[in-house]
Amino acid sequence: MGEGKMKEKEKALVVEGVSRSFGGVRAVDQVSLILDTGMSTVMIGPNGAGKTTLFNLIAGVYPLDEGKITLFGEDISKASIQRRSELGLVRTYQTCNLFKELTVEENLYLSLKNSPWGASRGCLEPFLPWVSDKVRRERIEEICRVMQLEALKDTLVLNMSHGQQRQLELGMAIISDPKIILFDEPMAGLSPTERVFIGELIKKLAREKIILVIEHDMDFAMSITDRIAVLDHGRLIKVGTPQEISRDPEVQKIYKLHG
Amino acid sequence: MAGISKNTALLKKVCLGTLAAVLLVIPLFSSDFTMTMIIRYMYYGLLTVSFGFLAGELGLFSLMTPVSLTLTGYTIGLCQTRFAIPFIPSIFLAFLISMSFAALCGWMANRSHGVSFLMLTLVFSQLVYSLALQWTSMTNGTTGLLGIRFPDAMEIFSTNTKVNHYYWTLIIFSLTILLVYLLIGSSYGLKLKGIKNSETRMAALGYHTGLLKWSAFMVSSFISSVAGVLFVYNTGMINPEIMTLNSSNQALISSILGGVNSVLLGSIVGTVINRTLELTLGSLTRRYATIVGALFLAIILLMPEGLISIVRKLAYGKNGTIQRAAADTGPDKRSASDDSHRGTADQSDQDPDPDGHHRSPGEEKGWEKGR
Repeated sequence: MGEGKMKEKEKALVVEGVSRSFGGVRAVDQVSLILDTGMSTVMIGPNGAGKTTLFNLIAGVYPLDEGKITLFGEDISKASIQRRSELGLVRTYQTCNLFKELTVEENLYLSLKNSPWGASRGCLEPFLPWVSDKVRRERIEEICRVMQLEALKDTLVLNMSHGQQRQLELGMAIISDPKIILFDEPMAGLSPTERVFIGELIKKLAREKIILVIEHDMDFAMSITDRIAVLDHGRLIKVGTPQEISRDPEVQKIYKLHG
Repeated sequence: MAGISKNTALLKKVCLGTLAAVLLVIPLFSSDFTMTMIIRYMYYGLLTVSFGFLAGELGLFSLMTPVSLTLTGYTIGLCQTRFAIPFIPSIFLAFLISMSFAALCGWMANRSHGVSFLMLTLVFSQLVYSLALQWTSMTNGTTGLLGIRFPDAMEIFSTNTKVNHYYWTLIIFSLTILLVYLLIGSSYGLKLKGIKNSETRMAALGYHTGLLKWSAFMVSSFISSVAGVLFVYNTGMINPEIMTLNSSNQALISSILGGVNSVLLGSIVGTVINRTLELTLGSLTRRYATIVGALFLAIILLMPEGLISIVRKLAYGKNGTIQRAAADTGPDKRSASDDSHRGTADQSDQDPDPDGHHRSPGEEKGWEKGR
């Protein structure tokens, strides 16, 4: 095995020439991107640029038309969503995708799959009350503290505000201690106070984990990381520092066109 | 509020204990007719639980719940009347056949959702119905298999056969209900509720949702098979009538009458009401189906959570339907959060707390505080 190949294997997430079309629309077109420790990236681009589709391709929601995705050296191009989760990839959704008829604690409990706290309690597990699972519940307590959801632990998600649901979604993403987190517009629809709270958490996560964030707020994007990727019409236009991005004529043209 | 939760949990235990005691002593002072009716409630109740388990926990409406009952019944009947196979092996064979068929149907049906799932299960159900009707050399067609006898060796409680039937049915019914109760309150039950809420999210979290749905289908079929054993030994016969579309409808109607989201209590209450109406109104008028239909419509319009919502309101006050289906969401540890019904939040019933936070009534009644 060559050195180049070896290096590629060591990378956390390698997206190579990935494409996906819906009917006649090329939503993602030959996108290549590498993510690794210290390479947390914010993805920007106008509406319809293909950012969420790229997320869905990485997460395994849609199959690839062409290209290859490697996660920690394993080719996951055709792997199931579950396999990607096992390898430590988690994601959040543009519109909160929670278990709305369940409580905060139940949502967090279900999110502990594929985590060090998610070990089965043996063949009797289907007959044991989940509330007696002390190990997982301690972890839930911990995350509730971090996410300031302690008072809402027994509340149904459908009774919570949008901001609280965002907090829960973030909690569900981090509870299993994943290696890579994909955040799809985590700040959308939040109040200024909530933005500060969620923003600080994501900044902290960016230092500890490998994260890929879709975000429209440029100030926030630049405060998370200095690696920004610009997508337009399904193509990856540029990856670079905020300064490089702001000086790039093609990026300037895109943002002028989109006002 | 925590006090109310504790009282409610205590009230629930007292009610359950009283019911158990009454059921145990019924043979001492009641007629054979009363016992026959209670036995009917129990096996038809299990059939409704079988339907309700898929509908309430997973959101899947199956029209083939009576199929496992029928297959079990026919196998036991054939083993006894045609092949003289002893009791235990015939039960084993009956479960093997009904569960194998369910495994195959579940594997195919779980690839679909909503109406497609409903139609597929209807097709499987009609397939078995046609087989039972047309394979006359084996099934006796519309007449079915008659003269299936309860094993003499099982008559241990009394010299009265009906009392023996009653106690064996009660034991098997209670064990099955306990099994479902444990499943619903375990992490397995929680996973099924997760799939009902968002299958895509469950898959993204790493759960093999197809396998979980298939296993729920198998659990549902198992409950129906148990109902089949009780049915065939109590009635002494089995014919295709038990698995007509009307039979599936009866399970659906009972479940909706009681409350679809209340897998245990709602199913049993719904069955008792539906079957009692069938018997009492049926003897008074030929148009009893019209009356049941009107009642069904009224309940759907006025009480979409079923008749069980009345019990909850009585037990928990006017906010009794806010948070979670109570009585049967699992072991007592979560009983207090049962105060309300899942998925039916009524924001107008929420009270702002002294700090100005919006708080739902169920928050103060969490299962943890109810211990």
